[in-house]
Amino acid sequence: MEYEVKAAYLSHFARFVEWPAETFDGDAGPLVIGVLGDDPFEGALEQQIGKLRVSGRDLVIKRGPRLEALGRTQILFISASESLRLPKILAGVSGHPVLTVGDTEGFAARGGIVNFTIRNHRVRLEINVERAKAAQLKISSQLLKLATIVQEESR
Amino acid sequence: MRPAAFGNRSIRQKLAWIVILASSAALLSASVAFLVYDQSSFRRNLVHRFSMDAEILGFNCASALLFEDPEAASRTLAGLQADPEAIAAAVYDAEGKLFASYRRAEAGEAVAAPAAPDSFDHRFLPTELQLIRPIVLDGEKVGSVFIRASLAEMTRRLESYALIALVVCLGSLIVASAISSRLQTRISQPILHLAETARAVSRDRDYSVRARFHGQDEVGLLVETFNDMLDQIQQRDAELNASQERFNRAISGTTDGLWDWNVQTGEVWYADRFKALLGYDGVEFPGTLATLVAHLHPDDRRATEAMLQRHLVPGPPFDAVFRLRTASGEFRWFHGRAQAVHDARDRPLRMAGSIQDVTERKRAEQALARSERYFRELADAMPQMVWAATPDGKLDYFNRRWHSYTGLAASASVADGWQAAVHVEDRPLVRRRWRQALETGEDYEVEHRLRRQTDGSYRWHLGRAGAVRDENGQISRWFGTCTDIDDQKSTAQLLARQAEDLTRSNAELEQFAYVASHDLQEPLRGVTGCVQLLRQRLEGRLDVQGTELIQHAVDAAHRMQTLITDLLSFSRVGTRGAPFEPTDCGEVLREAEANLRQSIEESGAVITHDELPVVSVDRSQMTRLFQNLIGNGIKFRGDETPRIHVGAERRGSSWLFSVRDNGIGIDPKYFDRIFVVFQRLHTRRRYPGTGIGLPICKKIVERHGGSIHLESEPDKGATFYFTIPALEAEPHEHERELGLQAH
Repeated sequence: MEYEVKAAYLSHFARFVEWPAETFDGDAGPLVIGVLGDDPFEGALEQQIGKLRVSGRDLVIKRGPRLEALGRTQILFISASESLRLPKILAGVSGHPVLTVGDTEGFAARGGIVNFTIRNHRVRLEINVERAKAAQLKISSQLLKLATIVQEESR
Repeated sequence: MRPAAFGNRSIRQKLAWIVILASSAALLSASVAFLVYDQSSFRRNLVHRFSMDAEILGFNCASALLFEDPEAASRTLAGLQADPEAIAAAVYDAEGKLFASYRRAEAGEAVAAPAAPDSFDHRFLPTELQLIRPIVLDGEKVGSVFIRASLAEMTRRLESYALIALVVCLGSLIVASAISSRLQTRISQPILHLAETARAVSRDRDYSVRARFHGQDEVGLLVETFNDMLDQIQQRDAELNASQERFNRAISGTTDGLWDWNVQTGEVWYADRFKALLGYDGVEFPGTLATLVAHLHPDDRRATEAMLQRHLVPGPPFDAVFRLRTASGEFRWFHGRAQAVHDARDRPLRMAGSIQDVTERKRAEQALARSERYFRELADAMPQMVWAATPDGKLDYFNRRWHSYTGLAASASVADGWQAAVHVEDRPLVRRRWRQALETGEDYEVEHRLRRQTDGSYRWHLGRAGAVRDENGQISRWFGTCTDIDDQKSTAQLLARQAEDLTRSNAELEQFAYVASHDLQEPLRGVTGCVQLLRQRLEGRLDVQGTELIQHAVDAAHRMQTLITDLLSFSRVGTRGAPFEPTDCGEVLREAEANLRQSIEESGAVITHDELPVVSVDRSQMTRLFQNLIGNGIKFRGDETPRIHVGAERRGSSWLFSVRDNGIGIDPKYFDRIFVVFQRLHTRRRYPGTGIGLPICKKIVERHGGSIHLESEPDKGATFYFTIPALEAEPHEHERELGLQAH
């Protein structure tokens, strides 16, 4: 259940985040959601997205154990299974317009952009605005106002 | 304002009202249009505004919906706090479940958002606008927004707009009425002036005023027409006044009492004169027909009312004589006349009439009828026949005597029928006389015979008639009588015959006397001559006795001579008289004195006289008259010297002469005898004479139209009086008669 919500949220991100145009393969290029590590969604992702199109683009889901295997993605869900390798992964996408999403404690503070947390039994968001800017992503204020803005821990 | 009340307002007010109402209506409809427009535009704006708000809210809540964050949505909705008109709002998710809601703090529970949205775009409730907008994200409906907006603002605005409109309207009205009150005078002033003129005309009855003419518009036309009308009214009024005056004069001049009955209302107008005729004043005599009926005499009521009803049907004119009770209770006779006016269907509308007091006339008629009855009774009681005729000569009345004598009925006698009773021989004369009387108006008088019915005999009647004239001198009637004069007529005829015989015998006698006395003289002269011759021859041869015999014969012959001479002269007075001519009686007296000179000288008689007049007489007979009377006075003298005075004095149209002597006088018992021929009072020896003197005097005086008489007593002288008509006045027959009677 929890992951059904998170799967829906992932698809919703496409509506509130603006990527640079060159990120896509042309004007009609698909928006790719990558799942790195163990897939916790158990098919809920496909169920939620279905034939969903956002801003004229198809949503495409890719899975893989490695970043390289996934290729270019616009949204990258980093599974909790990759927690230990997180700094390396984040470094790998750093400078690229990829919206990194996680659901581990302190994900945003460690350099992720969006982190799912549970509060009051509901899925809430933490957003690291600094990292989003660094990734050349424009996150809608509509999304920002729902989220807790997180500063990175001092490095 | 009710129409009737408005209708009674003056033109000025009407115009003011019209202007005010018109401008009010214009302003009001403009205001209403503006308000309606404003309201609809306000609503449109409101919808638009809240649509925007909903869009924004939806947009702002879309993420909250997607990320299921109702708090965030609530926070977004709370942003409506800034808009006081938004009283409640809600966000529903795609399934229509209430996701978040907002309620204005002061609005209360009643304005909470519904649990699920209805399917409408927006709707206006009395006090609020409800609006629902879907929240669409990337072409996908993710939920909807519901907003309830208060219309209080709009109402406030509407109110303030209405207030402003009202103020503007009132202000406009004040301005409009100010303007209209200035401008309307240009229309109302002439009309008001016209109305005031009309009112003045109506109030003062002065049709000489005229409305002022101000211009050639409709009101001007009205003024012109009004003035024209006034012209006509003035003229009619003058005519009416004249007619009224004539009527009043007629009323005041007439003694008739007028009344006028309005048959429809039953009201009756009785003129003052009418009431006065009955002795009432206005109060006591109510104006109904019943009043009149109640005053009718019971005996006249039925007939009079019947006549009135007949006339109303309509029928013959109402014209009746009846009695009315006056205020004093006395019944008087009145002659009533009336004429009704009917409508086209012969229903009576009005009836006007008059009454005239004819009591006096009625009494006069009754008196006349009475006197006529008296007259008839009187006429019928008369032994004479009495008749009457119209001025044109048609007989129309005969008394009973006529009918009983002639046996002609009244119908057979009237007009000219009476002539049947007149003797055929007398009819032309009777007709001629009657026609003559009718033509000249003089009295009718004719003798004629009338047939007596009983034995068919004709008896002589004297028919007489006289005209009765009216106050204008016109003949109104002829009254006549027929008097039986048959007996008188026979007597008169007898008398006339006798008188004729007498005259003839008198004339024969006079002729005889003349002839006799004349012819007797011839043999007498022979006898006288023979006797005188005999006395001469026998002179001296006769004895005394013989001489005396012859002397007697001579004396007798002389006496016979004298008698014949006297007789001749007496008869000559009638047969040998000279014509009358003016003669001075003084000269006549001197002539008589001259003839008597011898006896005057012998007796020494003294003769005096008054101044004597000139009269028309036979001179020689007049001389004879004086001579005889003076001679008588000398002859019958007493012992004294005779003194004789001749006098004359005027008595009316005659002269009264007198011859007075102082002789022996005459016993009055002989006064008649002395004027008879050959009557002597004394012996021939004592007073010689034949006794013819005074009869001659009487005959002369009578021939001159006078009379003679005397006054005397024995031994006291005698005065003979005789009259001779004065020169300037021919003797009248009646004076002659009077003279005769006096004699």
